[in-house]
This record gives sequence, C-alpha cells and structure tokens, in this order.
Amino acid sequence: MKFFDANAAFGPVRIPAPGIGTGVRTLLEQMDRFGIETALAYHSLSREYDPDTGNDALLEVCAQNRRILPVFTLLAPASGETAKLDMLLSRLSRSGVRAVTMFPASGYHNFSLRRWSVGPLLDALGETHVPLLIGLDQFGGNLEALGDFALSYPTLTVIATGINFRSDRMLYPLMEHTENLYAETSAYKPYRGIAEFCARFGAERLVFGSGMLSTDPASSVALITYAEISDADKEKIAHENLERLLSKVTL
Amino acid sequence: MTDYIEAILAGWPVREFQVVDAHDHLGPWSNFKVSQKGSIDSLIRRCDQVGINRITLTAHASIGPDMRLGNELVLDAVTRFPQRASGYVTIKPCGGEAIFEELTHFFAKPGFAGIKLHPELHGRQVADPVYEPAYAYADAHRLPVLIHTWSVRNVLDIGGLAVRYPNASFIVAHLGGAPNALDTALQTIARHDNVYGDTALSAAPMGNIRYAVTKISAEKLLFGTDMPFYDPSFTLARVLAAGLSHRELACVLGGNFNRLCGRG
Repeated sequence: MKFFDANAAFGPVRIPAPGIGTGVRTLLEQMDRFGIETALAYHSLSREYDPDTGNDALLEVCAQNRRILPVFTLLAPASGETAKLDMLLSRLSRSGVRAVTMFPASGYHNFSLRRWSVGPLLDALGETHVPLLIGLDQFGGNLEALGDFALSYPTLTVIATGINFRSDRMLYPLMEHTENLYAETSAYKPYRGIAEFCARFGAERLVFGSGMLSTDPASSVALITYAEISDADKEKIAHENLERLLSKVTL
Repeated sequence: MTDYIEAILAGWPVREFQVVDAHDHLGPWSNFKVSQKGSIDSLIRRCDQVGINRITLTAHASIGPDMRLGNELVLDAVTRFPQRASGYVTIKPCGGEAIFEELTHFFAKPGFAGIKLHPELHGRQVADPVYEPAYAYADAHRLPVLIHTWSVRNVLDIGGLAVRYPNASFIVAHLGGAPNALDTALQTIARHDNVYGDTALSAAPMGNIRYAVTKISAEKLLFGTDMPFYDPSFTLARVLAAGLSHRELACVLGGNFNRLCGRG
C-alpha cells in the first residue's frame, strides 16, 4: 500500500525531541522506511519563527525533493505582514502550493479566524478548493470551536490534524453536520477508532497523516494497516482521499 | 526481516515474540467513547488481530470511583481468560485497613500479577502516606506496582519508594508522561534496580523507544499499550520499528514483565 502523507513538517524546533533529527533528510529516510511516497509538509520555521522565512525555506527544499509538496503557512492579511490576497493566490499558484496551514492560537501566530479577520482569504481558498490543514491545538483542543470554524466557512475544505482518542463524542456529530470537514489520522487512535468511524461515516472523510517529525510514522501507519476495515477503505485513507481533494484545486 | 516494518505495512499480527502487554484497562470510561465498551471479549479479539498474547488489566471503574467494582470486573475477566489476561489489584487512597483488605481479598484468587495506582485521578501524590499499606504489601510479596506518572515529581517520588521498598518492583507508567519528565524517568529507572518504565503513551514521539533503551537498557523497559484508552497497534508498531535487536525486542515485548511476574 502506498501512503500520501497529509501532515509532515521538518526543520529546527525550539524543543527538539531527544534521539531524532529534525531535518528533511530524516523525513525522507522515514518516508522510505514506511512506503510514504509523497508528503505534504510545512517548514517548522514557519510555525516557530516567521511564515515568510519558513515558506521560502520550504520551497528551496521542495525544489530539490519532488516527493515533498509545499504547504504554505498563512497569516491573517490585515496586519500587512503578507502579500495582498490576489498576490498571495498568484504566489501559491506559481509555487505549486496546493494546501495551506495556519497557526492562529495565541501561543503561536496569535490572530483570529473570524470573518472580520480572515473571511476573504478563507473564502478565496474555498473558491479555489485549496484545503486548509489546521490543528485541533489551534482551537485549544476544543472540538466545538473547530466545528464552529468549519461551519462558518462551508466552502472551505478543512483537514483537521491532531484529532485524538478523546474526540468521538464531538467528532461524530460534527461529521454529521458538516460536509467540508476531514480528519487527519496521525493522532486519531481511539481503540478500534478507525473501524468504528468508517462503519459510521465511510472512509472518505479520513486522510492519512504521519505527524512527522514529532510522531513516529510506525504508529500512524499501523493505525491504518491494522484497522478492521476493507483493503479498499485502507487505500482511500492512505492516499486516495487526499489525492481526490488536491485534484480539485483550481489555483 | 530485521526491523519488522514489512509486517507493520501488511498489518500482520506479531508471531515472532511472546508479546505481553503490561498496561491495559477494561470497561467504559467517563471522559470519552471506548469502542465496544472495552469488554474483555473485544480486547481479546483485538489482541488476536495485532498479535498480543497476554494483557494485564486495570478496570476503568477502579481508577475512577469504585475500586471494588473495578477489581471484581478484572477478576471476572481473568477467570474467563486465564491464559490471555492477568490483573492488577487497583487501589484507591481509602485507608490502611480497606487497602489491606482489598489486596488480601483479591490476591487470594488466581490471576492477579501486581498492584496498580493512579494517584492523579484519585487526587493524591505518588508518595502520599495513604498508599503506604499498598507499597508495604508489594514489598512483602515481591510484587510489581504500576504507577501512573505525568510529572517530574511523580517520577522522583518513585525513586524514593524504590529505596524504601527494595523487594517491590515499581513501573513508571508512560515513562513519566509529560515530555519534560522523560529524562528524569530514565535516570530514575537506570539508578534503581527495582524500577522499570513502560511504553504506554498517547503520543508516539519519534525515536523515544530506542532512546530509552540506550539510556536504561532493554531489560528495564516493559511493553504497555494502555488499551482500550487507545488502539494497541499504535504502540506495538513503534516498538517493533524502533530498530532494537531480536534479543532486545524479546525483553521489551514480554520477557521482562514475565520475569517480574514470576512467569519467566
């Protein structure tokens, strides 16, 4: 089975985990070990230092490694720190960017996801079908807030990362009430959770992510390969769902 | 097959090792959904699917509100599946006589391998004197004590217990849990012959199994999955893929815990 990773990152971090590298070489080595053909990735400098610096560094790496597809980190535009919307969309297109991420939480980039802050930007991403990868931690771990966000931007494809083993009591009704919300799987490890989710909603709303370089890809891969689901559903989660979402991008 | 990744990618159950899980639970839980209510039948089926030979149970009821209810549920499970499941007698901080009675009641029955404490959920510290009857019992009967940890202080407290109760064995659950407690946990485990760590962790930090083995040796690390808090495949795979030798894997995946329980 091939894997297409929706959630990878590399680069220096403030608090590195012991015993493991943080560079792109480590990411590629691990992708090779676990049959991950391609990965959407952002650069850690984008998250922990400056989005522009990280995005530039990311493009340099992607130019050398075709298996790594760039995920740009975006800020809210009103502070004037990033290009205006039309310029930004043009740059995403020129750079081959087909997915973006944001870190709006107060301990990260510290901006609002409300319409008065990012409405036009997220509407534009929705119109062009560019998925937004965003972590549950950016909502303080609050699935209600994540759900309200997804409902506020119904045309935007939201791939939520960091959905965890405590989530199902809120994740299930959210899945019932949204069509634009997808769950990335690297942290989605409820006991028999993948199988129960698929029995309820089908496999189309789950997207494989490794969580590298913080999460061990052995674990994230095993959640799929050992799940009590059909091989066809495993293929959907492992790569087909993400391929389908990215094929819709019209930048 | 040197690193077992082929098996992980294929979703094959482990066949090459006797896999003994030292850290499991049983039953539903208040805070989140547990598939199939975490029944023993469900757990055994899942073990067969991933290749776990034996599990070691604490009921959610007894790390929660009702010690006796939980221990009775564990007794029922280990009675039904004596070749596949062992139990911990789980203790609440309920007073010396009640603790002693609970321990003597359940250790008089077959199927119990050790004592489990969850001080965080019961609003206590690891070194709270209220637990001393349990530690003394473990010392007198040479039992392992699995203790939930999620801080540097929890781990340092276990270091103190290891000196005071040298005949008991202490298992630092989750290797200290909090990321900043990992190195203190490994130092404590390395320093005391009767302190061990387990692999149960809801995160799967890349490289930390091999890092732990480098610091404490394979003989001091126990395989634990926390099932059914989360799926056992998550932890089993990162242990198998950690780059350990066959001998090291045999220790971690079951040999060490079997020895602690007098089975090896």
